[in-house]
Amino acid sequence: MSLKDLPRIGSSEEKISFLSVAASLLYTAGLFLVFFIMERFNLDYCSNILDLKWVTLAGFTVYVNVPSRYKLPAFSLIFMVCIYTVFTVVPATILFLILLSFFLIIQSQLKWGLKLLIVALMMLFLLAVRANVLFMPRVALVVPFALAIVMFRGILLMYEVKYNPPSANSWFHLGYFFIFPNLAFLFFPIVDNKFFVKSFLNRPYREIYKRGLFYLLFGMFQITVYKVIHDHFLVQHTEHTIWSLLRFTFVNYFMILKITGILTIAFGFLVIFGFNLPPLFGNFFLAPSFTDYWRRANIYWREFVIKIVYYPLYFRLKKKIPQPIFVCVIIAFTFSYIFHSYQLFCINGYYTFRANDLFYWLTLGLIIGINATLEHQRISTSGKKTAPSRTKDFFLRPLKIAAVFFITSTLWFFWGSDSIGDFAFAYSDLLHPDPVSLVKLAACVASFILLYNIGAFISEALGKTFGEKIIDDVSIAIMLVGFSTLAYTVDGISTGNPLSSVVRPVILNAAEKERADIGYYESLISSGPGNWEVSLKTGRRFDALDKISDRTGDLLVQEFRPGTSGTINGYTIKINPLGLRDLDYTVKKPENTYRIALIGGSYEMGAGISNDEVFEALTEERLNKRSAARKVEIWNYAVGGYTAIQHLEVVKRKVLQSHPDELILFAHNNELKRFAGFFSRYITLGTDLKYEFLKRIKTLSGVRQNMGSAEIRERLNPYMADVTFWAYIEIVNTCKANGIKPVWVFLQTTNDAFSEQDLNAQSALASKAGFRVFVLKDVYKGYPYEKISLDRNNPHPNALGHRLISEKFYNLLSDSTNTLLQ
Amino acid sequence: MTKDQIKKMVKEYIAEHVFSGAVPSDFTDDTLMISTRIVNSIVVMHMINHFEELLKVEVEAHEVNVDNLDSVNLVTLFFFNKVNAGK
Repeated sequence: MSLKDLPRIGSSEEKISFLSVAASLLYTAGLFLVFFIMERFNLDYCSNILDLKWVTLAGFTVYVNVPSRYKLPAFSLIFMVCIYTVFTVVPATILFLILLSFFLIIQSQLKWGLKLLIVALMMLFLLAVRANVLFMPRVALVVPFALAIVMFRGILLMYEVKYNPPSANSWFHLGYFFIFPNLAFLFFPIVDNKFFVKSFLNRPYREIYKRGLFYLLFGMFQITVYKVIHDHFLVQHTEHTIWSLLRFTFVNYFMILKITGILTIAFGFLVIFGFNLPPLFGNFFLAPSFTDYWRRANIYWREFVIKIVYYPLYFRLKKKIPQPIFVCVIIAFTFSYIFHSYQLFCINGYYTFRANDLFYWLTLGLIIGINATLEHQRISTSGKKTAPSRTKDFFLRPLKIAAVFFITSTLWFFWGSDSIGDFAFAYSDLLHPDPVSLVKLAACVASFILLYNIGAFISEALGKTFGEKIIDDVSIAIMLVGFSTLAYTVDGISTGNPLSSVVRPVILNAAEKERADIGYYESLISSGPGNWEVSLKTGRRFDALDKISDRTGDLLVQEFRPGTSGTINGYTIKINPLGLRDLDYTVKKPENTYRIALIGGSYEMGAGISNDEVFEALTEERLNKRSAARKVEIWNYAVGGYTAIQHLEVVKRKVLQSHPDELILFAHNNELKRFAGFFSRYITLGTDLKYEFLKRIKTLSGVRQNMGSAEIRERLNPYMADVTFWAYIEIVNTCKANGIKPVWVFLQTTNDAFSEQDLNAQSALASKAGFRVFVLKDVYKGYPYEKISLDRNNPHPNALGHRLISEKFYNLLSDSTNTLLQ
Repeated sequence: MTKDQIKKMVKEYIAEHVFSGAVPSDFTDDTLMISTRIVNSIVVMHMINHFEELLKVEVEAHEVNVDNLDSVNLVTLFFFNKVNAGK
């Protein structure tokens, strides 16, 4: 298709009339409402599209009003405006030039082999910048965006150029690289070039717009369902019964709605700009076979793999090997794993091998390979199928759907598990069936069979085009009005109201937080962050930490490298010559100086903020302003991920050298639970536990290196209070032997619910060990979580949070009744 | 082999292997089969193998696309051109 084929100005469709102006206003109003809802429902954590809101609205208004032949150039122009709005001139121009280069090379008359070589070299260059092999800060800023755009589309366009020389107008190919929603959704559907060209304005725009609007609303609906399920139904599997396990497995599977919702919204933005693309997903929850599941789940991904890997392989091998379908499917799924890893690297800039990933894809490939081979044989051997028996179908089809759902949800659980051992540990519950679970399960299956058949009956009665009928003016209007009304009344919805799940951002539950803490720790030791699709926005915050820290290979695990500095997500982290994130102190204590050694974890280290914003630095500065006669030095020994055992190591190996007068150890909510997570890493990594006491705990708990971390954590949990108490006693004894006053301070985290029981248990341990115990109370009182934390999924305090902590910490230190600093 | 003969074979194949003999009344020679997911990739592969053997032609991987195989008419034209290209 070329632009000439599109309707021109003056054609009956494009005459400017009152109706056409009114329609364009309605189109823009619809999109405005979509943005309004997204904003009010706090959907900005899913993408950055709200940052492009005004450009998109203005661009869309222009787009709907220009004649069809100018719509593609307008589409590319919106991309240009977006990049110059988002970035400053230099990076925006670099991004533009990178994409233009790809476009010009692929469009050029050069031989295909030469084009391939140049494109491959350009990709290697971008990947090298992404991996920080080439240090080019301004280029690096835009490379994730460039890679998100060309990583798959470059491959598809090269394929088209080789086999089906494109006849389409150049604007199509430029537009193919200039899909502006991709800037906001780095995780974007793999749009096939052929469909991109063929689908453009292939139906009257009114119809296409309706589809686009439907997808935008439907995407939001999916995310809304995800939020409700997340907040009200995602109960952790802790009971160790089959029912508990399966309930968690099934509910956890619905977390996929967040991903499908994001992709559907991204897709919807493309559709409302005239690209009438085929659907992105089928209803894969109701797939009756594995091949059918694969056909419905992320259809664009599947078609990409089939086109680039499966077909070329199959046609090469079909006459040379037995069972070519099975072999080719397995290879195609292996490539699917490779492409996922490649996508992960392009977007996040790192790659970590996870056995779960590889085995997930291979298992899925194995199942689908067998299913596809059988299906192919069935087509070959039986031409005409016998009409299905109604009675048989009543039971068989829903049972098949239930079986596929069970296996795919189990695989999803497996994929998201921290390790294969964790998965095996959780699923070992299946070996201990209990009657209550089996009865509940049977009731569930029976209910599903009944509900499925009722649904099938209604669907049959409404006719097979029911799905298409859904996308009509009335249903879209109902969704739009319903969502808008809810969005408008957001402010009046209290936290206790069930609707609050719909409108407020997702807050991680305890288990997810625990995993995030482990993830943080894992980042420090350069291992995986978990499932990339749910951590897209997290990014690689800690790669710079690798440059300013060293692994110790012992109980300390990691320590800062003296005299280094780095920038992480815009904040600077500077390490002094003594290896502390602090000012350059002299080891010899100056006259009239009171020296405090502060030990703690990421809160005290100041994760996510610059050195001078950390509460320790603020407090020290304020104390010294108060009295010039007596100087106070607070040496910050904190490092992210440090807990009781590391604190002990820090005291013994580092603190004593600085001869402080006082030692302040910070602890937080759920410290013991978090501690079990960190301790489990010692076991997993095979770290020498050094102390007899710790070795005895290892023996008593029965943990082994080859166990999954969930099992290790669970086995260690009962011993964590004892280990903490032991470490505290060791710290106190070391301090007292060296004339240091040991102080223990409890600081509440920004997001955990405060538990008096937890505080009492922890402070009792500290007090019994010999610490003076203090509690920083009501630190963040009056400030909502969003105001004081780094972001919604990163609970570390931001600069304001640290100022609030500093206020309380200063009061604690300066209050003479506490007899600190004395 | 004429185009009509090939079309007859294609329609018979579709009727038998896609619709189990019961072709819907609204299915025409121009109905899109791949784009609308009436046929899946396994059926497409089987159909290609079937006509490769029947018509003694060879199909290449990149030719498996909606431009060539999306409807009865397109499949007919594709294999008709293949047969004639071989002569």
